[in-house]
Amino acid sequence: MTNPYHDAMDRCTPPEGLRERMEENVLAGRPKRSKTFKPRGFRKKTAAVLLAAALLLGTGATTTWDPLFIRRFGPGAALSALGGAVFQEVNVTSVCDDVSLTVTQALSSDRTIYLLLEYKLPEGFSPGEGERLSYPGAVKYYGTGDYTWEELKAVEEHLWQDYDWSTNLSYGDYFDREDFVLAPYDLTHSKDGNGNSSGSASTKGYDQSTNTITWLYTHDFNTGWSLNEQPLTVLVTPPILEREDGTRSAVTGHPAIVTFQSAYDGPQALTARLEEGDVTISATLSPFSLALEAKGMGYPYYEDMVKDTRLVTRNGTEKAVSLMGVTGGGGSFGPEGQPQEVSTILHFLLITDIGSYTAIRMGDYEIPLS
Amino acid sequence: MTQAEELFAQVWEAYGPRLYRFCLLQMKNQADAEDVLQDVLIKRLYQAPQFKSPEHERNWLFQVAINLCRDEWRHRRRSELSLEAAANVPLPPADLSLLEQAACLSEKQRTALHLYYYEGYTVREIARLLGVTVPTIKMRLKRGREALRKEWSE
Repeated sequence: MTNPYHDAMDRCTPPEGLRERMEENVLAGRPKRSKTFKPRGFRKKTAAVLLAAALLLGTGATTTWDPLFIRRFGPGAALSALGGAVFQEVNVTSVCDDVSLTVTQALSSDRTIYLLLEYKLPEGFSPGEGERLSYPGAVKYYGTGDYTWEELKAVEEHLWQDYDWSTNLSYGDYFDREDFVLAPYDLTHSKDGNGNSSGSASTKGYDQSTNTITWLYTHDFNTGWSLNEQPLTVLVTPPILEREDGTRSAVTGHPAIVTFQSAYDGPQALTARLEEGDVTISATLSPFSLALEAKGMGYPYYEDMVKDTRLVTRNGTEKAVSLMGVTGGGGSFGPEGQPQEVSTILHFLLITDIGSYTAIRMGDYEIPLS
Repeated sequence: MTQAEELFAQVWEAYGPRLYRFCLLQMKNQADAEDVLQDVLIKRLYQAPQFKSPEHERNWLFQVAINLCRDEWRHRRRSELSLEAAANVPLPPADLSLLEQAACLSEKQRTALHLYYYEGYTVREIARLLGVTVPTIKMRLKRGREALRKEWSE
C-alpha cells in the first residue's frame, strides 16, 4: 500500500551541513545545570488534596439542611451562595387516602432535583421481625400545574385494583397507557425527541415513631423542560414489604402523589451545540450536572467521551470533567459494529458555579456555552 | 572521540533527520526548525533520563520536540515561509503540494498525521504520547486525510 506522505517527506532531506552545525552548537551548548529534563507529558501530576472544613458543622446555616444533603454535597455547600440559591424548605404534604406523602426539603436547579420524600405508611402498619421495606418501584415527575390527589383519584381509581403494585411487571402497563391522565405532562420525556433523563435514590430508613420511611431522590432532566416553570407533581408507587421467605407485597393498593412548586434562584442551564459534517455534539451544564451527547466522534463507550471532555474556564484553563463527578450513560453501534452515538449525564460531586465556564472542549472541538 | 561526541553521533544517526523533518513541518521555517532541533538534542545529550529501551528514547525525543515546537510558536510567531523555501531542497511538485497542504493543517492534525504516516506510530501510541484518547487521534487522522484527499490520491 503506497504512502505518498511518507515518500514525499523522505525526499525532504535535511540541508547540507546541518549535522555539523548541530554537532558544533550542541557540544558547545552544555547547560550549566544538567538536571534531568522531563517533558510535560511525562511529568507526574501532583495530586490536589482538599481538606473538608468540619468547622461548618453545627452552625445555624447547616442545621437547616437535612443530613442526607450535607452528606451528599459536604458541609460547606449549605453556607455557600450557590447552596442558598438551590435550597428549598418545602414541607408540603399530600394525604392520599391511607398514606401520605411529604416533600420536606429540595435542592434544585432548572434541570435537576434532589428531593427528600417522606412516605407515611398506613395506620397500624409496621414492618415485623425479618421484614424489610424497599423503595417504591417507580417515581415519576410531571409538570401538570397544580394537580391534586383528589383529581387523580377521580379519574384513575377504578383502574388501581387491576394492578399488582408490588411488581413493575404489572404496574408498568399502567403508566404505559396512552390514556393515562398524567402522560402528556411527563417531564422525563423529551420535548423535542432529543435528550434523556436519569435518576437515583438513597434511603434514610424507616422511623418507627412516625411510621414513615424517607428517601432522597435525584433526577436530572435533560429533556428540554424547565423544572421551575410549573408546579411539579411527584408520583410514587407504594413501597414494598419484603419478607424472609421471599414474598413481597405493596403497603397499599394505589400510587400516591404530591405537588409543589420547585424554587430555584440561580443561573439557568447553559448549553453548547455543534453540528459539523457527520459530527454532532451537545452539552447542557447546570449546577448539579453536565449532560453530554456525541455522534460521529468515534467514541465506542460514553466513558471515552467523558475522558475526552473538558470545561473551559473564564481564564482559559481547562478542567477535566471526569474529575468533577460520577457518570452513567450509554451508546449505540452501527450494523458493522462501528461506534455511532454516546450520551451521559455526569453528576457533579459539588454544586458547581456554571458562570465560571465559557465553553466545553470535546476532543479538538471547543464549543461556547450560552 | 569524547563521550559527548560519541553520544551525539549515535543520536543523530538514529533520530537526527527524522526530528528535523518533524520540526520543519511544525515550524515551517528552517531557522526555527534548527533552533528547536538544537534544543531537543541539547536536552538529549545533557538532561535525558536513563532510557529503558530505544522506544522509550524515541518517545521521549518526540515528546520534547512536540513541546518545544508548541512553546516556540507560542512565544515568537514568525512569518511562515513556503515549505519549498524552508526545506531548502528541490522537491517534485506533487510532493511539494502534499507537504504544503500537510503543513497547513492544524498543529494537532499534522502532528498526528506525521507520527502515524511518517514515524509509523500506532494510533494507541500517538494517543499515549499526546495524552489524548484513541478516538481523538482517529478523528484527527480522519480529518487530516480528508483535507489532503486531493493530494493524497494523486
